This record gives sequence, C-alpha cells and structure tokens, in this order.
Amino acid sequence: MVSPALTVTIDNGDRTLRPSGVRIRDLLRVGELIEAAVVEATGRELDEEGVPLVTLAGVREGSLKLVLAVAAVAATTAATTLAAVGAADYSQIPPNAQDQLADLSRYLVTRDWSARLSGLTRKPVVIDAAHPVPAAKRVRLTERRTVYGECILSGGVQPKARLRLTSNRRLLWITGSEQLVQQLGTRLYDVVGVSGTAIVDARTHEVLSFQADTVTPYSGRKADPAAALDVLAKIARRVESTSPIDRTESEGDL
Amino acid sequence: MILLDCNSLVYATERQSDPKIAELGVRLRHYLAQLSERETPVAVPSLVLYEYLCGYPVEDHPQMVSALETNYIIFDVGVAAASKAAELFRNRPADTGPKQRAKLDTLIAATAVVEGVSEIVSEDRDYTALTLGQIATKKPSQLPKPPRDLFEDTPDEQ
Repeated sequence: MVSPALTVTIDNGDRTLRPSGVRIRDLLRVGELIEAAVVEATGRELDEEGVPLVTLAGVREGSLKLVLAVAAVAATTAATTLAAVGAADYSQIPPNAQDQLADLSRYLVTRDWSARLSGLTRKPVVIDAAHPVPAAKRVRLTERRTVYGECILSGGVQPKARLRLTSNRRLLWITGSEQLVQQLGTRLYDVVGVSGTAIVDARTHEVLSFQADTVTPYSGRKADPAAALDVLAKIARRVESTSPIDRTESEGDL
Repeated sequence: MILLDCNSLVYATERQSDPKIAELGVRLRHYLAQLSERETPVAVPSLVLYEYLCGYPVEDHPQMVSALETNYIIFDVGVAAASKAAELFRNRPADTGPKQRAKLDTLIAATAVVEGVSEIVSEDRDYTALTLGQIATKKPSQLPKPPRDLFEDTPDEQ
C-alpha cells in the first residue's frame, strides 16, 4: 500500500532562508518531533508489518523541504492531528500528541522558522510564531499506582525504562533507582508490573510520568495461572476439612 | 488480557457439591493452561482478591496472595476505575440485580475497562452488559472440556 506523503516546508518570516541554511540535524529534529506526535496520537510506533509509522522519503530544495511517508494505518489519525492544529482545537487529540507538537512549535519559533505541513489535510497547516501550538492543558493528580507493561528499553545515565502498557499499548517512560532499572533490564520483552508514584492527567487518567519504586512479583511469561490455582485449591481442601467455606458471606448470590 | 471474577476462582479451587459446577472449574483450569501456552496475561482485580480471601482464615492469606500476585496481574482500584465505574453504574441496564451487588460488580467491570481487558470469565454475571458492550464475557460452561485422559474411565480389558 502506498504511504501518504507529508511534506514539511521550512521557511522563515522574511523568506530569506537559503536552501543551504538549514542543518541536517535541525531538519531531522523537525521530522523526529512530527514522528513523535504521530506515535502519541496513534498509540503505536509500528504498523502491522513492523514498519515505523513515519519514515523519511526525501529532502528537497537543499534542506528546506522534508518529505515524510506516513504509514497508511496512521494516515487518518495524523491528518486529524494536523487538522486540530489548523483549527487550533485540540480537544480531540491525545494530550501527549499535542505536547509533541508544542515541542515542535517551540523548536521552530526559537529559530524564527515557519513550517508548512501539506499533503495530509485539505489545507496546509502552518506552525510558527503566529500559529503556535500550546502545550496541552492538564490538571495533574499525583497518586500511588501499579502499572503493567512489556519492558522494551532499560538503562541510561539517568536510570529509566520504557514500558508498552498492557492497558492501552501506549509507551511510558518510567524512572527509578539504578537497581530497579537493572532489575527491569533482566526482564526485557517480558510483561512486568511496577509500583510507584504516578502523575496522571485528571481528565483522561493517562499517566504523564511515573517514578517507580518497586517491581511487583508478577512473573510475566513465566506466570502459570493454573499452578496458582493448585496452591489455592490445596489450602481450600485443608480449610474445608475443618469447616465449609461460607461463600454466602462474601458473595451473597453464590 | 483475560480477567477472572470471584466465582470463577471459587469454582476452580473450592469443592463443589454440584457436579455441573465442579465441571466449570475443570473447564476453567484447562482454559487457563491454554492461555499460559499463548502467553496471554490473566488478571484479577484487587476487589476480586478481597472477595475470594473473605472465605479463608487470615493466616492463609499471605500464601494465597503470593501465589496469585506471582501468576496474575493484580489490578488496583484507582481513581480512573472509580470514575469509570460511576459512569457505568449510572448508565447500567435495568436488569443488573440488587443495587449493592451491581455496584461492586460494576467496579470490577470498570477496572477491566480502564486496564484494557478484552474478556472477563464469569458464569454468573453478564459483564458485557455492565461494561455497555466494551468487554466480552465468557462463561466457564461455554469453555471446551479438556481432552479425556487416554487411561481415564477405560473399561478393564477382558
């Protein structure tokens, strides 16, 4: 399937930016932030065939035009996200996607650049000082929480790990002690549970940041739910041998 | 991800005088073994854990909790679940039974919704109705029986 192309044209206010005036790393950073926004909006990094949702399809006009291929599976969400920017109405897109676009907006404005994004929406969308993207408005709550997810990364100078949450498949960075992160490192690509302090969005309940302090005993791929029932059944037999278990107390309708 | 309700745990672990109910436990255990082979996580909300433990002396709880939390994802009932439960309860179908029971089961259902559970195993409660169609309910009585042991109930050879 042909991936829709998203063209990002960089310019500055007085249109004096020369084709050679943009460094490769700056242009790639623009692409990286767009990719991050699409990943946050869709809640996934890859399509069904394992291909990244946003890939580099070309650099044109010196370094002024970046052409990105958006995977078909993400095209509608990417278009909706960009349309939200065009309409300055962010109510229908995930706050994390908006925050990535806000980062892109700051990045462009600090360089006095303007980005014109075309190809996915009916009208091109412009992000610049006159059309900035604000950070998502959030009411934050701090709560104790346990999250479960597949550990896909672990390590770093500042110890952290990345989980793909079982609840919504979204990616979450968690911070913790070096020892905790090392412990998670031994469980790469396994489902782990971590408890800690979460800062969550009060409206969406989405976890914005997570400071982990404990890895739960859940054994992931090695879990054997039927074996656990054997342990429970053994205890049940012993208890039943002295007195019947009264399920009417707790169950009511059992 | 699959979630078990309290009755499923009870049927699978406690002696049942009714052979039909006892068979539900057999089917459920076979299903859990299949889920293990497919590496499908199985979850139990802390509310279900609470209901189940109510039947047992306190001194047995640590061993039971340890067996469950090692092999099951145990979901806390947090703010998100409480909020979702209130929403589901206010929009519940008319025939969900006694109010207090429905409130408790709705909280279990809401925990499943916010934690991304795809299926709840329950013989007695229609969680699909409680979650307004968001989660499938699978009855243990509808699960396949385990294949018969080759040597089980075989008539003696003459």
